[in-house]
Amino acid sequence: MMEPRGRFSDGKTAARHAVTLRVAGGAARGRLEIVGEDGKLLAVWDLAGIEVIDELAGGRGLRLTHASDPAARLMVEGRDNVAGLRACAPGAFRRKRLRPATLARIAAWTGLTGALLAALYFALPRLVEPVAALVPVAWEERVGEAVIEQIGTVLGGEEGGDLYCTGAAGAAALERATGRLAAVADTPYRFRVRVADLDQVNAFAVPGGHIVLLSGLIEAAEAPEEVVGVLAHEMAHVVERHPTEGLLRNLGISVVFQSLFGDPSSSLPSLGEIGGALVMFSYSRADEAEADALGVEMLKQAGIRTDGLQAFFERLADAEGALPSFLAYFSTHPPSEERARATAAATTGGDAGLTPGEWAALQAICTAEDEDGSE
Amino acid sequence: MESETTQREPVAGARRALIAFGGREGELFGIFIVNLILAILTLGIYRFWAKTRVRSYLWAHAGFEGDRLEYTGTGKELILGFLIIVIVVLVPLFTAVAILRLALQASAPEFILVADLTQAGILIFLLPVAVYRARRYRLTRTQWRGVRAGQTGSALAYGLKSVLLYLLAAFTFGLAWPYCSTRLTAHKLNNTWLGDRRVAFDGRARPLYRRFLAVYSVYVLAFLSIPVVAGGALQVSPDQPMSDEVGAVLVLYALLLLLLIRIPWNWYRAAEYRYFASRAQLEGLRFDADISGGALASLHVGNTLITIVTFGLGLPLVYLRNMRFGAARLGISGEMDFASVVQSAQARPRMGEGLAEAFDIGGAYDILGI
Repeated sequence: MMEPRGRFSDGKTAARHAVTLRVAGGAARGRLEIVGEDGKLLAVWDLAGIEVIDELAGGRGLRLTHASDPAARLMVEGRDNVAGLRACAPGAFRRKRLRPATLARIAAWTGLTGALLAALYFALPRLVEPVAALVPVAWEERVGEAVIEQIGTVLGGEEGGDLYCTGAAGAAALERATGRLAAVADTPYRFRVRVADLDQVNAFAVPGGHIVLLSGLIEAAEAPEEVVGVLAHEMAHVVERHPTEGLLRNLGISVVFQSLFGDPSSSLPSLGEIGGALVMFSYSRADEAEADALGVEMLKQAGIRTDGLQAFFERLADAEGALPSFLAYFSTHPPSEERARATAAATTGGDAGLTPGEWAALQAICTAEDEDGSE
Repeated sequence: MESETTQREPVAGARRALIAFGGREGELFGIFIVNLILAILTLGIYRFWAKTRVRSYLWAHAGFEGDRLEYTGTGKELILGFLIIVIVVLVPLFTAVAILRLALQASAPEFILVADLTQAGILIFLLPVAVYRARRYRLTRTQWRGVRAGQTGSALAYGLKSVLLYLLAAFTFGLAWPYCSTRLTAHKLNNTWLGDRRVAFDGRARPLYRRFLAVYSVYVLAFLSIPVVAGGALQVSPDQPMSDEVGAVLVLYALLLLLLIRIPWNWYRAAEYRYFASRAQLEGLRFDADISGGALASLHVGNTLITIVTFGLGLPLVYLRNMRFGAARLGISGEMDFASVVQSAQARPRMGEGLAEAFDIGGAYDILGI
């Protein structure tokens, strides 16, 4: 039988030596002798240290190296040569299967990556609080204003003004209730509360003291203290700077995601997109509990009964089937037991926050004519 | 037919193919499908190893002077390079721009454009940097007869040169492009090595101008047609919104414009390939590219159609088409004493093409990257 032939490069120069290949010493302790054309021995590789770098399909070619000389290359081309070489030492010159050690390493790296992503996920919200504290209130107000405008344009059609209700009496009622609560809040923010003409039972706070109540929420409420309870809750979010923290958190997440998976040539999310996300975004449980407690405290100090939010929540939770949109708002809020504990101090002491006349005006804020022609 | 093309011994001196390519559809699709499944299962993280496997296959089936190339990069290098870039460059950059935007939104909304332009400027600079770094990574991971290829020169310098040349091209309404392109190609080729031997390139822009001006005049005509067509549309249908027929004509016109931009460019690009190849030299080896505009256009149109029609599942076909195109049309002649070529002593980047990965700039399977 013809000895298998190959081509050998030593990894030092691009010189190529035509070689014949011999296996000596049997398969177990065998070694591969690489012999040059002049009969000179160019290299001797023990079979155990030989690595198959690549193999052409169907045994059409092999590229070999050796652990002791990883820069050297032995090319064995053509079926005859590959088969001939393999016949010399059955079992050798095969690609190694994945070893358990390699698999363990892959598993370890996968786990580490997962842990890193999880750490990022949990660390980001905590990083956000100190950063939010650095943002000047004046910025927040301007950004909030821009977001409010954007929401108006996105949700309210071409005339952004259409979205926000302009009933003057209702607005005055809302302003008085807001003023009473603001008077007892320790905050640099100036509160501006609007009612948006949308059917969902929802309310949200935007950075810079802007709060939006959706008309669906006012319709779903049966008593003024329920709406005032929600208002106090949202104002508490503002006092605690949750909207700004939420905005920064969203921005942080989008920066990380854009860097990892996105197309960085596209620009960052616009304010409109951020505004859209604000409507959708959820506070953490801890944020909600904080806002609940502070909201109740503010109501109490302002002399308003504090059972409104709780009553509203419980009644609507019973009717959740009928009001699916309600779930969207409260799904991230603490379950009722938790909330009941947080608002355990809820009392019926104090007034409803709005006079019957004011309550009627607020309910009509989106249908009433704009009496004086301005907001 | 038994394809042992990579084994065929070239005749020294005579004109011969630069690359003998023996890759096969079935084999590459096998790799591709497994890659796809693993990439989906790992939420895309496997893509670094996927790219490595495809490269290993393509390189291993590309023969040069009778010996197959070898790709020595690893998935680990690619993912580390990518993560470093994300942490050191992209997150700080995007955070800074996000803060700048918010600050401007609050204080001076009319200057928000400045933030966007700053970001665009930085990205325009980073793109050529990414191209150059990726090319260095690929070349230093390309090995032949045990000897590494390589690329010298600083990526930042290349990025800066690119930005200046882009500006020159912009200020001359594109007329300086052949000059810019030649300078950048010269920068890349003159920094390309095989072992301790360097490629020499002495191309000049002038011979490219005849072809360039022909293509350019097509662009001028296309550009001039815009006000004519828009004016015509307004005359036929002055009221808003315009009639469906006029709208349909305008859509067709926009498509035609797109083709007028994309297709003729191939004739210029083909001239570049031919000329650049003819001016490059590696010791005694001369290069040539037998590439016509029509052939290049049909390669690109075919690749685009394959990608769209198969929703990306046909990408292995695109890789094979590109390799076969090069194998069929790139040639060398002359001789070189390879036995005297010494292993490269250049420092190799320890990590992979992070920026290029982040920007997804393509050319991932392009061995020479010209």
